[in-house]
Amino acid sequence: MSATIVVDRASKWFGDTVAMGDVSFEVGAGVTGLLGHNGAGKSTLLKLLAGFSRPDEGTVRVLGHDPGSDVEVYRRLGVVPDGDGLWPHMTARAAIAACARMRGVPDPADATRRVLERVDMTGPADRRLGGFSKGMKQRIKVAQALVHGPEVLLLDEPLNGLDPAQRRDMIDLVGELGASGHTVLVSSHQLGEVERMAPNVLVMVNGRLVAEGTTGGIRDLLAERPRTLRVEVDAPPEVARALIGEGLAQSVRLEDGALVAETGDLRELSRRLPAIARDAGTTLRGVEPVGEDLESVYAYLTARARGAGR
Amino acid sequence: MTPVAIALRALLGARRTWVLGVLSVIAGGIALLIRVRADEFRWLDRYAEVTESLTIPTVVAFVALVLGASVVGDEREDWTILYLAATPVPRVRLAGAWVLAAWVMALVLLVPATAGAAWLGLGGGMGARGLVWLVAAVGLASLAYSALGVLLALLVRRAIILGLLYIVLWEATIATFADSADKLSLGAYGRRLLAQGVPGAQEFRVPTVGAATAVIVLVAVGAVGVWAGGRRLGRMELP
Repeated sequence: MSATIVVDRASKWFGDTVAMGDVSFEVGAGVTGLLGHNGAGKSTLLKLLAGFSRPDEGTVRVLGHDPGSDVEVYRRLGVVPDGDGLWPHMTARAAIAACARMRGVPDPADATRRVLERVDMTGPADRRLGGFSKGMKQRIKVAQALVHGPEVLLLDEPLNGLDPAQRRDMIDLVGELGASGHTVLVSSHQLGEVERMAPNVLVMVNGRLVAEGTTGGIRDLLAERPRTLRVEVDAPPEVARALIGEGLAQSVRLEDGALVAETGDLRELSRRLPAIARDAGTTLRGVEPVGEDLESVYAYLTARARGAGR
Repeated sequence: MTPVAIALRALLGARRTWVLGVLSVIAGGIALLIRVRADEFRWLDRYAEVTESLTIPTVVAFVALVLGASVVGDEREDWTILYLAATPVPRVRLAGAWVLAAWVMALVLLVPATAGAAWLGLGGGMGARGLVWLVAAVGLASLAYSALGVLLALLVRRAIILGLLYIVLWEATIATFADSADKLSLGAYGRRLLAQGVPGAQEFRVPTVGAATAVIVLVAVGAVGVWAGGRRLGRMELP
């Protein structure tokens, strides 16, 4: 894989806060997801790659250019920023054509027409952007990033504000771009979204890159992690003994009258639990996972990265 | 031309621009008031006083500086600056486009208003020579103030407030009334051009420089504003 985006030991601070610390990776053609919770450093990284900000340490290269100092890179780079801002007094067509002209497109009107068709915004193209919904603005932002036919695309949360049908269309569009040889780096805080768009993923937590690989690999990694279940039964001690005795739980504790069990094999424990409760002569009143939110998932990846390296 | 057109359209669509337009004609209203109310032997002096202390250092400074600061401030505020930044257009050209747009809008608002005020204030006695120097003074002072507004907006978040403080505390007060400060005032160089041909302006406090020097200083401030704005834009953190 020939790398089009190269980040080498890049760090960024805002005062005493480390927004991004010692991040290194290389990305080539195809779609790569950038996954992380809000404040993980995804937007900071994308801003560095877009040249809107500069690393305090390390280097960032896009197509061999330093985007922070070489404006020529924008002839081959398209950026969809996070904010909603678009010139409210301009029509969608005029705004996209203006971007095309500024990026040196030979026939801005034709390029604008084609890209509006691509994002399915031909109908409202001659309306002012000030009256557009968030979803419509999102598609216009993508259109302006595509209008000059860039080789590299940076998309910051492109699915924000889109309805389910628009999300599907956008995911298809991102997939097509990747399949046609573009380098696409797309950020999201939802693994499910990233999984549908990108075969490869970078995971950021608290400004650090904690995992990278195929989306399936990250999913497997998450599946392997110890899981915690809260089990509500009438006879907690008997059920706890059975769970430990059968090796289904690594630890069990009593919390507010319920059992909290940590297991390395969630599927097997879930399968056996009703039978264990029946054998213990008790009623299974409730089972719910604990710590399944993204924060917990990222915390696990962080701890794993600290313990064993990526 | 595209960044200029975008900036001009943004200025035209902003309510703030029209408020500044109203402010511009206030100078005309004051001139008319002087013409009507002042003693018939002193109206020329009164008009000159208003022009010296109000037109250039306050109205022109305020309108041009706020337009310059707004054209950048609004792009920063609503993040549209990112779409300009994500282009291969050299940063100095972007800064130049903002200054040009603010300057053109300032000329549209200020030249008719100040020329009208002069016509009313002087009772049509200004003549073509006076009009040329009036337009030169307002035009070049506007250029310098617009560039200053653009630069301020690229340097700080609250550029309009800082610009207002600069006008109120320096241009309209100390630099207008203290002889020793006039070489450090953009308005004073504008008044120097007015003194070249506008009746009654010969008594203004102006720097002891020729008209050509005043032109060079005002144009140089505009050029330095564009250059420094471009450099700042190339190095600043965008939203």
